[in-house]
Amino acid sequence: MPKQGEDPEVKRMIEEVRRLPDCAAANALWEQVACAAETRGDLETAWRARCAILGSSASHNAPRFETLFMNLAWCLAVSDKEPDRFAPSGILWQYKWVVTQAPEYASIPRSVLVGLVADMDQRFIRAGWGRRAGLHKRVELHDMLGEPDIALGAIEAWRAVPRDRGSDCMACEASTMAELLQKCGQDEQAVREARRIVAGQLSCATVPHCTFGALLPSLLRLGRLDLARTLYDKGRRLVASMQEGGVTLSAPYLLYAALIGDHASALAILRARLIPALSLQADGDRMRWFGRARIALELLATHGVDELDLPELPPAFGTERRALPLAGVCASIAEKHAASLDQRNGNASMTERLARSRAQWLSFPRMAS
Amino acid sequence: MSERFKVDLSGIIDLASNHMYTTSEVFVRELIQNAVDAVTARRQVDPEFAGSIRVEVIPGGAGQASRLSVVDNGIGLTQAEVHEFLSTVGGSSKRNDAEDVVDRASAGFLGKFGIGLLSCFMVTDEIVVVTKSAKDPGSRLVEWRGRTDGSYVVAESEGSGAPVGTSVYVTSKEGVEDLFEVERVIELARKYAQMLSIPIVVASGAHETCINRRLPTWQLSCEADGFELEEYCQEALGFRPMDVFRIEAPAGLVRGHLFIRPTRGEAWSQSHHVYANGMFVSEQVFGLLPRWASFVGACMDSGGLRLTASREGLHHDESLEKTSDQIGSAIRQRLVHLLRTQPQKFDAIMGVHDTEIRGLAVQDSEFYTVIIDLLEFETTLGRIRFGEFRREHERLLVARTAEQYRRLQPIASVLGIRVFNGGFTYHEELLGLAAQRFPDLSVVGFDTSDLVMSLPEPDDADRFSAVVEEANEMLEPRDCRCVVREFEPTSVSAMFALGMDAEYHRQLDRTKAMSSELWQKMLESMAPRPQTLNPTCLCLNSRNDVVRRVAGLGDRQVVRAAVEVLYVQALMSGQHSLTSAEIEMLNRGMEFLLTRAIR
Repeated sequence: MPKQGEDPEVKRMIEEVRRLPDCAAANALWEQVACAAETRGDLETAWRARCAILGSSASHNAPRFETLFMNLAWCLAVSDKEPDRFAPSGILWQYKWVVTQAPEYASIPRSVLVGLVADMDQRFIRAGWGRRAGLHKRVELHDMLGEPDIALGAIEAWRAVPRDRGSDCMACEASTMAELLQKCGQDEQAVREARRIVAGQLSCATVPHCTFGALLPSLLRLGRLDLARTLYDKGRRLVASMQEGGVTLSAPYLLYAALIGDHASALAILRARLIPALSLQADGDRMRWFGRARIALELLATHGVDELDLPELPPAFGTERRALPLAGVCASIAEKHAASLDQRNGNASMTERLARSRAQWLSFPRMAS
Repeated sequence: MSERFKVDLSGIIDLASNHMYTTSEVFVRELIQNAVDAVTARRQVDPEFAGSIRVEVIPGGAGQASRLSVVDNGIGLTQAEVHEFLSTVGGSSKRNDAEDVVDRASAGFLGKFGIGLLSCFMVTDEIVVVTKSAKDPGSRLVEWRGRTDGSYVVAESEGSGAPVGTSVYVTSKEGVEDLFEVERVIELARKYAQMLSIPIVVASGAHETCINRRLPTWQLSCEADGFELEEYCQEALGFRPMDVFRIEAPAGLVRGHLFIRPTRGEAWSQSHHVYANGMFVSEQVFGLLPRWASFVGACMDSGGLRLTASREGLHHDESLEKTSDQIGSAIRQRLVHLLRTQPQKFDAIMGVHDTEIRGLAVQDSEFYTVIIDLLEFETTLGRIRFGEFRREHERLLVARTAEQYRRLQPIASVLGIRVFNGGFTYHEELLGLAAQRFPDLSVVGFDTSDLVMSLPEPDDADRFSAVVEEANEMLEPRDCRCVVREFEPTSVSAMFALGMDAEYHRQLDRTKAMSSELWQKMLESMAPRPQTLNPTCLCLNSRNDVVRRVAGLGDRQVVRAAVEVLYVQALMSGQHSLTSAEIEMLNRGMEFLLTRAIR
């Protein structure tokens, strides 16, 4: 058996990939390292490469969740077979990312999603990491299964368990909670939950980027327009500096920009993110992004912004550049994915969420930018 | 009723002195900075005033602590100002003069927060300040002594004859004596203050060293002072640059030079020299240069970017983002300029930073348009510039991974099929963008299964029908079929061909086979096998001697064993990972053939 990393071609590729930032090219190169090492029987290097892929494929710079799923499956299988050689603790954190993302894919059945949370929970317990992460992910899962009441009901159990090394950081936990409460219309509680994030006392890789956007509807409903404007300004700037990972996070700011008549920012977001949004793979991501884009385009049209200066769009959009017809295309994309998720979930929750959100945003009074 | 926060003074002093800075070295910077601000303030009163700063080191002897003093002939402080500015944490003599950062900076002030002096408590237990104000010619000398517990005493004495200005004295505490060694103080004063225009002398006994540069580097010209800039880069950043160019970023009032590195390195490890109003800030200032710009080093001064309280980093705000954009734009312009005016130099830079510059082209459409035609790509028929190819062809074939390219290269090159290698970093992305940029050019993925389709069938195809039949029967459960084609080189007996989709599913199948039932279901549901997936293909070479001999055999069992071995051999020569079933197949085939041969 060759020694770890001894093959010159594998070594060359590892040196090359270390010079790259988190990006699709780095992912592809790690994949080549893993395949080449595996072929040469160098399982240690293959493991190292696949662990690197786990990290970079979930990176907020260039997320590739399908890659994450397959590589975690490989790592789990290898680690289960030889736990002393390939420590399971090295991949448990990444399991949480999978459990967070998997419900976004309508093709993954409910039974598998429930099984994944249970499997993760058991692995965490075996590793001595505690149950808090498992209970947290259960809350998120029920939210994505269109069962907000069950999700809200599960919060108490999650919060009753002390934090442990497997728990999400405090910023991520608070952000998840605030987002869930906002979706359930518990606006005061959502803002209260996020107060330390808003105050700049808690932050993480994508917190407050996502939190500020998620709070905007609550703040509008509460009439706290000054704070909404502040969070919009800060959050939009933070998300604008992000690469591919900023696509999903950009949608709330696009919507708010259109509402307040900040047309320059709305168009800038559309120009930068519309085409990349078409590359989003997960049904949930596509549903939310295009659902919000649709409302934003409708708001722009209401404000008299009709002909849009956008780059060349893919065939799905035709040659149309007017706001309302583009909103129609976005609506059909969002509704298709909502329907897929509803079919998997066995309810109509996602379709209802889309409609509720649209009615709400179109009913907000127009504000001066 | 509104109440006031309570403050634990010694806790605040401990926080601001011992926990805010990443290194104790900064006390030298803070002392010089205060001295510079004092001179600047005096110049506001008297624009012709020539200020000076003297740092005196008195090394400690056996059992004696070392002392360091920083003496300036700046504005000085009255007793009232001593109470207000030296004894009030957060009270800065500079802040009220110019609230706005840009105004303050343009006035030449460096400090802001009124906490810098506290950094001395990292290296001393007592700070002594002796000062005489320039505002009142008859003013008395004021002595202030501050201690780490938050207490201080002020005393006044007759000041006639004493020069206007301020002297700060610190005595080393245990464990930091090395920071008071003369050579170290000179090194630190140079590091932080060499770009300042006010003369700064470090003295110890009779020995005096002026630490200022002739001019700050951002005042040097690339044309007239090119050699000096290169020397500076070598000395400060540790490399001799391939190119030096000037940049100005109005958003953050930034000016300076960028240096193209002669070697590649990890982006995170690259150091720069960033100054604020001439005072050194940091070697690692996150957010100032674009992420992709790892191939340049920078020496820049900013007059308008906001510093953090420790002055070791920059605030992440809109101004910093705009500055970063402007710097990025300047780098792109320089590369384009070199490309047009000094192509040899540009080629040399590409030779080292090919990946980074291609990455930039992927991200930046304007730069892509300028550069794409000049980029070289590896193809099965040798390297070629993209523009050269594009002008003569309407269809570009690209192997999407290095593995695919390696598998098809020997055969495609003999057949004269030009396939681009998209397996190098950013190559596939660049070629993919070409399809959007040039409507007349179609960019088509090409893999081993496409290659097989393009190969001719042999004239004597009938000769191989029994082998093909046997192979198909054996390979059918493996979702693989056998074909016979005529190709060079004849030494290759068989090629295992699979398209990109099939390759992905092969990997998926292998992973599924290893996984638990739950994860098998997960992978199955995540990526259902498409109906249109081309089957994999074992392509036998009709010109290969072994294949021809196997085709001539009458014994079906031997043919089957031979096909099993050829199949696995084709997998191995294509460097495909083998499943346990395939290893078993190889063993079985070899064992059978050996047994027959021995018999």
